Amino acid sequence: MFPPRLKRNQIVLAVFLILSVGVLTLHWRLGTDSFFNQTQRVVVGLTGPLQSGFSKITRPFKNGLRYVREMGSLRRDNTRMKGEVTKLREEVISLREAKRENKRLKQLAGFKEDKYTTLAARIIGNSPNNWQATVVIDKGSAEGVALRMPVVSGEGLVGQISKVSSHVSEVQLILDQKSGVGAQIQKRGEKGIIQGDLDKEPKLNFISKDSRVKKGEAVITSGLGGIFPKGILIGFTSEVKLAPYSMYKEIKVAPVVKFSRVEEVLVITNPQPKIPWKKE
Amino acid sequence: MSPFSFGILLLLVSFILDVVLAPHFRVMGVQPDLVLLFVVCYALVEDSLVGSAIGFFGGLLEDLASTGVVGLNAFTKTLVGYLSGLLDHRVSKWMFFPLVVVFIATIFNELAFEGLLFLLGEGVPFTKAFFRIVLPVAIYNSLLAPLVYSLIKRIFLRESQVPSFRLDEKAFKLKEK
Repeated sequence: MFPPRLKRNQIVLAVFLILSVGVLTLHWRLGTDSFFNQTQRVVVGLTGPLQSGFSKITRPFKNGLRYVREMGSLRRDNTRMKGEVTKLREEVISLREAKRENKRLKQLAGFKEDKYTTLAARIIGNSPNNWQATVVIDKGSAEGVALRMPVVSGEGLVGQISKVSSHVSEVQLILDQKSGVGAQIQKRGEKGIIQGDLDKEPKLNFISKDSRVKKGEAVITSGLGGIFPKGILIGFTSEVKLAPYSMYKEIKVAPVVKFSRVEEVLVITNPQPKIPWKKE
Repeated sequence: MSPFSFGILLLLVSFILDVVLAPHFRVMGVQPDLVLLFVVCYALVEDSLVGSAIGFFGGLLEDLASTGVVGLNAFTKTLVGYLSGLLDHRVSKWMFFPLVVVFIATIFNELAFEGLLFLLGEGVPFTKAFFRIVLPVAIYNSLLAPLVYSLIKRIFLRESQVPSFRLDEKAFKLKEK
C-alpha cells in the first residue's frame, strides 16, 4: 500500500508545513492591518464579480423555485395576514399617537433624535467556508462602506462589515462564531451579548440566572460596544434554560432575519450617533 | 503544458467553483469543500510530493478568500495532500476506494482545522462542531468523490496506468477475428 518514498517528499512536506505555520503566526501577530488582510481584500475584490455574475444568472431560477415551493402556503398566509392587518391597523393608530407624544417630550427634554443614513446593497455570495457565517455584498469602499459598519435588513439585524474591497464587502453575520453583539431583552432591559454558536440560533450570554426572562421575548441591540446603534431588533428568545453551576442563564435567540432567504440589506453608514444631548 | 501546471490550473478552477458555485448548494447548512476534494483526488493519482504542494497552494487560496487567519487551511491541506499521496491508486480497484479515502481525509482535515482554531483561542465545542460541520462535510465530499476522482484519473493518468475497459475491448476484438 505504501511504496518506498524519497526523502525529498518529506523535506518538501516539512518546508510547506513550516511555511504554513510561519504565515499563520505572522498573520496572527500582525493583526488586522497586515499584508495578509490586504491580500484577503484583493481576493474578495477579485471573486466578488464572479459571485455577482453567478447570482444574477441563478436568481430567476431560485425565485421560480421559491414561488413553486411557497404556492401551497400562499392562500393560508393570505387569510392569516388579513386578520393581522386589521389588528395592526388598530395598533398603528395608537402608536402614531405615542410617536407624536414621544417627539413632543424629546423636544421638551432637548433630546436629539438618532438618524441613520443607509446604503442599500445586494447579497451576491456566501461564505466559502463552513466554519464561518458571512455573506458578500455588492457595495464597497468606493460607495462609502467601511469596516465594522452595521448591516440590517427590513426584518432586523444582519451583522457587520468584516472586510471591505473597492466595490465588494464581506458581512459577518450574527450567526458567526466570532461575532459578538451587545444586546438587551427589550421588556426587561437586561443586557448581554449575542454570540454565534455554529447554529441557526445564536446564544444570548451573560443574562443573570435570577432573570425572569421567558421564551418569546424580543431581543434588541443595546448600543453598548459602540458598533451597533441601540434598538435594532435581533430576534426572540426561543429557549431559556437554567444551567447548573453557572451564574448565567442559557438563552437561545431565534433571529428575525431569515439568513438563507435575505437578498437585499442596508448598511448603516453613520452608525455612531452624534452626542444625544444638546448643550444649548 | 506539464501535468503539474495543468494540475495548478485545475486547482484554480476548483477554487473558483468552491467560492462561486458551492455556497449555492448548501445541504443541512454545509457546502462541499471542492478544493479539498481536488487535492485528495489529485494526490491519489500523483504522489505525496505533488499532493503536499497542491494542498499547500489550495489551502492558501482558501485562506485568502476567507476572513480567518491565513495559514490554517494551508497547513491542514498540505498534510492531507501528503498523506493521500502516500496511498497508491493502483493498489485498489475497489469502486468505493476514493469515497472512503475522501471521507477519512475530510474528517482528518476538519478535525485538524478545529484543533488549530482551538490553539488560536477560537475553538468551538467539539461534539457540536463534529455533528454540525465535520461529519456532514465528510459525507457530502465523499458522495462527490467518485465523480471527481474518475475525472482526474482520466485527465492525468497515462493509458498504460489505467486498467480500463479499452484493453479488454481490444482483446475481445482479437478474439472475434
